[in-house]
Amino acid sequence: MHTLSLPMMNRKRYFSTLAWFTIFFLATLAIAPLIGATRISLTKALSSEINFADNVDAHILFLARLPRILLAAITGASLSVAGAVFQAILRNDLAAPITLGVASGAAFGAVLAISLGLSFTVLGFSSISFAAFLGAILAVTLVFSLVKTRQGEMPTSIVLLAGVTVNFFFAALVMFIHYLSDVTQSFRIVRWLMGGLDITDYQTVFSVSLPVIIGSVILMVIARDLNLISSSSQSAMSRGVDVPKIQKVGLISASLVTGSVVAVSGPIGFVGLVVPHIVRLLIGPDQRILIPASMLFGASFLIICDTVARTVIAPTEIPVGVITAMIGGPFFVWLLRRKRQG
Amino acid sequence: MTNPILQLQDVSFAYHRDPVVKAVSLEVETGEFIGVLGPNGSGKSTLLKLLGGILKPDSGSVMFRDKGLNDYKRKILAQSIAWLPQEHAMAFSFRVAEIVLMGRHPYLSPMTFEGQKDFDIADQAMRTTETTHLSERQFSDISGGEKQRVMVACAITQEPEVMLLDEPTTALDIKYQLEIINILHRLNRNDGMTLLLAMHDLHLASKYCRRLILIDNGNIVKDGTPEEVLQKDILESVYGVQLKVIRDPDDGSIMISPEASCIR
Repeated sequence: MHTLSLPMMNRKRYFSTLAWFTIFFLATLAIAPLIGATRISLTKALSSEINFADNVDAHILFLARLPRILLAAITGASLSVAGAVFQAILRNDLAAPITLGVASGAAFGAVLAISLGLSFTVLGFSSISFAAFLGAILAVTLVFSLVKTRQGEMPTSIVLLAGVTVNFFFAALVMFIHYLSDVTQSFRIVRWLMGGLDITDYQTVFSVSLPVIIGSVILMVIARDLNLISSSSQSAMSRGVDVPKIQKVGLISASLVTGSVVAVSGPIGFVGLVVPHIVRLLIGPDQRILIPASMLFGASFLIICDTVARTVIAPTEIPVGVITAMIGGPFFVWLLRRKRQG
Repeated sequence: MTNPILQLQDVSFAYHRDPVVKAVSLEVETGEFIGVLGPNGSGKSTLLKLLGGILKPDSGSVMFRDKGLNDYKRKILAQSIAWLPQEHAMAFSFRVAEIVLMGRHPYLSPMTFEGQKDFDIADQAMRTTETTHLSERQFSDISGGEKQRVMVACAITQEPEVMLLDEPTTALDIKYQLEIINILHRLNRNDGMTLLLAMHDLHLASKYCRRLILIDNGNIVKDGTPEEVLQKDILESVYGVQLKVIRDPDDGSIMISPEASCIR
């Protein structure tokens, strides 16, 4: 007679796991602002005796580093949650904003908006954000329509092939627009395409947060449905999941989240691919916990990468995408090899 | 005659252009144990998917009790009908207990966790299918026979009235085949569960099922008791091989074996 040991996926385990991820995130958030090309004194920065206008340390801390770190956190969290959700919906280890062409779709939208000189706001979002979001949706719709069959199951190789194709397609469009642009636009495009968290302020941070929060909350609500879809979409249907609806809601929310951060930070690679895998290795594939944990870990991960990027050959700063790709590239190869070996 | 629990009326379905199921009509009564037989590609799997609402028919209607499947919310339907696929490929490494608990999805609201009642039901289902010792294992690491039992446990956890199983015994050795089909037999006998099984083993079908439906090329060729369906001439024309029908000396159940002339 065996004794029962169901893994109690209850509130207690849920909150204790999340507590660890939160502690790690808060620690990164607290330490990162103190590291940088210029040494700053925290006591001096927080001192009330020095006038803020004259307090160089406070300027560096509050105006240069903190907004950048907050943007890194939001970007990391967004790309990671999007990756986790894309992987679940497409039932594919290698799905991520980059491999699915979603990031380049967003890039296309943003570059088009820059080159057309569009400047309008929709519901408080800048034209670039809005265009990036539309581009992300367009890309994911393309991939999804390429792989969708009447049987409902999506073969791994076809998903990736479709993603890579869409990626190249949008990359070509970006190059084309870039080629046609004049010098000023061209500079703005290049600057944007290199990605980066350096030119930012609190205003940007706040405007990005809103769509990210909306998208993430929606994804949390459908987390258990995503579990069932990630195990098998047809079985999910027979267990009460409205699969087409959940797929649509999930893909749109993940694209919203991706599009909004890509519009500001540029296409930062590999975070969305690597982070969900690391978190899944640590805590398992249950989306109810994977989604918040990936957000916290993704935020910490990008803060750390960005800290490395701005200090490793200080005072020169390298784009954060270089660091994430240098970590993510080898990881991606390792994952592919492991996948092929079964 | 009672009211049928499941009913197909003139149902046709095509994945591409050529229909796989052609104007099929069928009534299933509560508590039946039905074997769906037919050659590979005859439309067995598609028929089960249509009955389970996994696929929507191109024409005709599928009714559960007095309403069309489309008129039910997915979650409500899932509380009554469970469907099990032929293969169980998982993209991510869920543990066995997590998979079984997924059967509780139709009873839970969004953003909630399984409660004690759900754990108890999953626990009971795992005892029934003798999978309790596997609960902490990764689903991808267990054997084919164990996977099939785990998926049956998941379907039981769903507490359905009807279970549709797509070739639950085909890939298994004879011991595992018997284990699975005995579990299903008990569910049918003790709990009155209505069962439809797509299968290839004609002898196993004749031993356990009280009704057999033989499908060929998207049409029902014969629907009746094992005695009526498992006839030499019908089977030979459907499977396209020479067969002999013999009797199990113990219980008189029908056994099908290829004619000597087919063995070259």
